[in-house]
Amino acid sequence: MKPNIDKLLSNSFYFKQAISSSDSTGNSLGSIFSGLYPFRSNINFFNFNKDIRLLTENLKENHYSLFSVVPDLSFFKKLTTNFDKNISYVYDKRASWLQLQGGIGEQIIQHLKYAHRHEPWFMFVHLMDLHGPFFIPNGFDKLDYGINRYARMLSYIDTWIGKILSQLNFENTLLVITSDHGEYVPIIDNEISYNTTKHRLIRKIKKYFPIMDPLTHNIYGKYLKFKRDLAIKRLQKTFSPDQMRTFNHRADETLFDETLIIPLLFFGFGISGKKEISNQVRQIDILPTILDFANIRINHKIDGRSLKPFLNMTFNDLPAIIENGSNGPKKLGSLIGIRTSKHKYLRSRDSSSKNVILYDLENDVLEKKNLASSNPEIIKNMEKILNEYMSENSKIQTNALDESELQNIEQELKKLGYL
Amino acid sequence: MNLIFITMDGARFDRIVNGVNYKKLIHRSSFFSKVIAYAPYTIAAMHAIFSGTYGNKNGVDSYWSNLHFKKDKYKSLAKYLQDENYVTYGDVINKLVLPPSGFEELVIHDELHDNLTIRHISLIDRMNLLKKEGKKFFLYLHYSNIHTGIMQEVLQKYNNFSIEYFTNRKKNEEYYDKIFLAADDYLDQIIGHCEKIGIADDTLIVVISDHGISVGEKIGERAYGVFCYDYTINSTALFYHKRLPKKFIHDQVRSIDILPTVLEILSIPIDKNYNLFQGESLVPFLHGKGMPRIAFSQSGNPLETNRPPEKPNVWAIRTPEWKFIKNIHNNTEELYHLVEDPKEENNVLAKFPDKAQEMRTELERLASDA
Repeated sequence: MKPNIDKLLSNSFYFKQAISSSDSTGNSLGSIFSGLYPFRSNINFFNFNKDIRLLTENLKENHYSLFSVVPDLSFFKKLTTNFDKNISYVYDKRASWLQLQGGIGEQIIQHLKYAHRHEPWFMFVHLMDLHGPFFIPNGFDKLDYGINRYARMLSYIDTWIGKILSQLNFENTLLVITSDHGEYVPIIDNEISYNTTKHRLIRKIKKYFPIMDPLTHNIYGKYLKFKRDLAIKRLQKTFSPDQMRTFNHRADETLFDETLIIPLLFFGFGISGKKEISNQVRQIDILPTILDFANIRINHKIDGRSLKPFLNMTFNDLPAIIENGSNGPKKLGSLIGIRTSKHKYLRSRDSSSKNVILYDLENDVLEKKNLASSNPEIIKNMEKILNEYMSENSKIQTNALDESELQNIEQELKKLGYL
Repeated sequence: MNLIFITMDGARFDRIVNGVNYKKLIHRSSFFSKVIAYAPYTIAAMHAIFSGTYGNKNGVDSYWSNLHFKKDKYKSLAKYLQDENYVTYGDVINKLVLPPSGFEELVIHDELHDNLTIRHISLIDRMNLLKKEGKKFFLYLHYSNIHTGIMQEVLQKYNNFSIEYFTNRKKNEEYYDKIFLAADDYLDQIIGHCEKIGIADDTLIVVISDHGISVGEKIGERAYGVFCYDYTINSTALFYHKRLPKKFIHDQVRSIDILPTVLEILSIPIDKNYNLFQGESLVPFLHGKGMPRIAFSQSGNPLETNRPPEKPNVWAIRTPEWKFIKNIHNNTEELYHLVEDPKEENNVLAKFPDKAQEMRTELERLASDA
């Protein structure tokens, strides 16, 4: 049950096939904020590349005040370093974390009231309520609010979206709702191997005996893997392979669409009525679109493009470069590839001939059949596109000019009498 | 065979077909009177001509985007000739107007002070010396004095909505005719010189106009680069060599067809290491076999500002009979039945919804083929 989201959808600029750059938060948010693919920006959850210009700088330069409500994690702190006022909330996956219901929702509303006094403003709100393990508020953990805990949590979040909407003046405010990545939603509500007590213990060891960290990390990691493998073996007796896939974890050796397709809607300023777009668009397009609505130019090179022209016209899809995330600070995800509306091509990040996967997304929505061996031409073409994007010398697909290029052109256009 | 390629910047098609010297040359050439420009301004128009590809695909679709020309994907005319061992030399109005790739020398002239007739004749003489040394050459000449006159007397004096300009159509026409007369004289002297020194015998001479210029037809466009009406997007192309048939072709073709035509006449093979251009050779028309072609154009309406937009905001598609325009900046559309309404004064969008839909679909297909 999500009346507020449904109401937004019926009047929004909505993209049905928006693709995340990755299945993990750091890579994805880096993509949104920089307009660059993770392989190019080198921004991930463990390493924040400070040399990359974030598009929030463009807002700042255009006199926007920047605000955020984000988890109290170092990645988010780095992402919002240049913001004017941030609210950080503790997120530790314990039942006691505040969530929207425990105060974060109210903090957002107070923050919005504060922002209204500093127009123009931009606010980034990152909610963790839909991230497992779920602690569903009283009254919402029943069938009326959804068939599983994920859906019930979404129903609850919807009530807060309603409250937040009531704080906004859409004559001059653009609301964007999206997510960093998709998720595997387990067919049963119990997590396979989550244990907050042990997590806490490991954290304490890391805090007081940092020297023990690598050891605890390894031992604990192996212990978790053992537990998980055992649980999976048990579940395999009950569930089909398709159902078993719902227990997959992100940032692992797969990159299925359930982790890549993200919601993306724009509502309010500059949008009248419903406009639903089926084309594949990319996460890297989000900030360029916001800046386009704000009439702010991007003068540096990025991978993304504004989606605003879709309001009036149709365009060809552009391929999305996709990569999986990593669970550790010392390595990158193992897979990289390309998704189009028709195909998904994946291969090892290190070698174009290892772990090659090709799915026909039009005829095999669940991505069950790897067609790589029988379609060498498609593989060759996809690899060529991937190489073009990844080549260090390749030009980023953008119309952005840097400041000196722009000045040079301006000078020439003046000579010609056009300015 | 050598190549001299002359751009008559801002020459209107209706003046060209009536120009005293132009007419004489047209009678001796293969002449296309209805070449629809990709863009009604030089920068995007010339990049489309030189790449044989529309600007939304080659990267140059605005006044601002010459640096985005995809030279690795689209081989330019100059590069084709350079790779065929031509000496390549260009004389242009401004560095923004042509893709530099393939030019050994691309020199900028001073449109306010240089005498282009003398300058270009001396360049032709220079090429003639190379020819005598056994070298092939490609010489690009940009006649910019129509632009110069318009810049001084229109662009710098009026804006796109100046009442004084739009209520003095007769004065505008007289001024344009005056500067066109000088252009017509320039062409006569250049061609005359080529014939006199014998360079025309083994040189293909191509004379094009990149776009036309308003004389006050539509409020909102005092010169060009705003709308996509025929007075700016109807350009021309002339191919002059004694072995080519003397033919006046009225069929609609596209400016992106010029590159493939030149390559075919010069017997230069298409380079498959690059993306194939969108244009198609016009040579079949010279033998009475060509079919009219649907043309796509884009412009950048600066609206109330004096600054062209960074992306095209007026898109148009033209068939020999119809033109459909989509104004992206305000989400309006126009449909003109060109056969009955060549001045594009009566928007019949509501009267012909089926035709509008047909044109809209094709426009969107072309626009999205980026």
